[in-house]
Amino acid sequence: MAMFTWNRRLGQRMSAYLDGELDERRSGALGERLVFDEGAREELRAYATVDRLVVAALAPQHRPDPAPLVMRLLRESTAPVPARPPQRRRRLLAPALVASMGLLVTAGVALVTLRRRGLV
Amino acid sequence: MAERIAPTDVQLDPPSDLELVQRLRAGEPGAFAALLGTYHCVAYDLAYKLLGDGRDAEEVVQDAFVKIHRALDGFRGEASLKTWILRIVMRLSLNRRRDRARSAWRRLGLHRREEPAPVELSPAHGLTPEAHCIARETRQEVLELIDKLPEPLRQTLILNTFEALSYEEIARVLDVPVGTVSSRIHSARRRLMRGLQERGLL
Repeated sequence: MAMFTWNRRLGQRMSAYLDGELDERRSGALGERLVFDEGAREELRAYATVDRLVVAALAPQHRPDPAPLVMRLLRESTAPVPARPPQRRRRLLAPALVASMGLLVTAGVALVTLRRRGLV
Repeated sequence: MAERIAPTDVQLDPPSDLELVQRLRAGEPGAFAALLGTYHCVAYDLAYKLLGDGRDAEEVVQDAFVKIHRALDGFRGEASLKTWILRIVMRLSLNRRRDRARSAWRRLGLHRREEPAPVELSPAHGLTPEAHCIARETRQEVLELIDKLPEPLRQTLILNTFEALSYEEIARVLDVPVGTVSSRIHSARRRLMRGLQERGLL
């Protein structure tokens, strides 16, 4: 393939030209160049071939039926929100407090008894 | 049951995004079918092109539309419905692709790109078995070259395969300037061109 003197800006314009994204003025100027510049025409043809191969290679061979998706979404949107179970109040503090009080009382009684016997 | 959506039924530019969103928010029957009818095809195509696997693409698209369904109240119309949907599909697809790349399955080389029926790359009267084989090999080589592109170039190139997406729309989906889109597409084409020439395919 004959290579014309490629530069990035021209190449980018040719790429945009291929996609129909060049403004009218630049598109016109490039169109004129392509008439006389065989190297530029070959470069453009190469971009077009690349595109064709890419589109063909990436194309999905079938598309799934969206109906199952519709059904799933409808089910989710109409399903009742499950009620949360009532939270049980935590009573961890009360048993611990009772146990502590019990210990204190027992300790107090023990102390008094020992003092009466003159042991403390 | 919803009718099968044929590709030719897809409209990528619906009459009014706002009208459709209002119908969806109102829970109007048939509104979701309308949304799917308009966007399912392009959403699936994008996911498939990014992931190369039909099952993964189907799951991603289902997840995307569930998210869209739940997030409708938050849709403000700053971007078009198409841009919004494609962004969601793109993000989910790239997350899936990244997760796959990290998976042990892939590291052990047990992954396999989906092999659908060969695409006809020659004139439409059909291919001989030999031509089918060559077409399949060519397809594989092209896919390998695309996979090797730097991720930003790959994503931009894939979006550009959708005829109905302009550079400006691609820029909105990717949230980059239009000039960046143009530059990336050109760079991607040049790299693929060199790769195809090295493999004798161009």
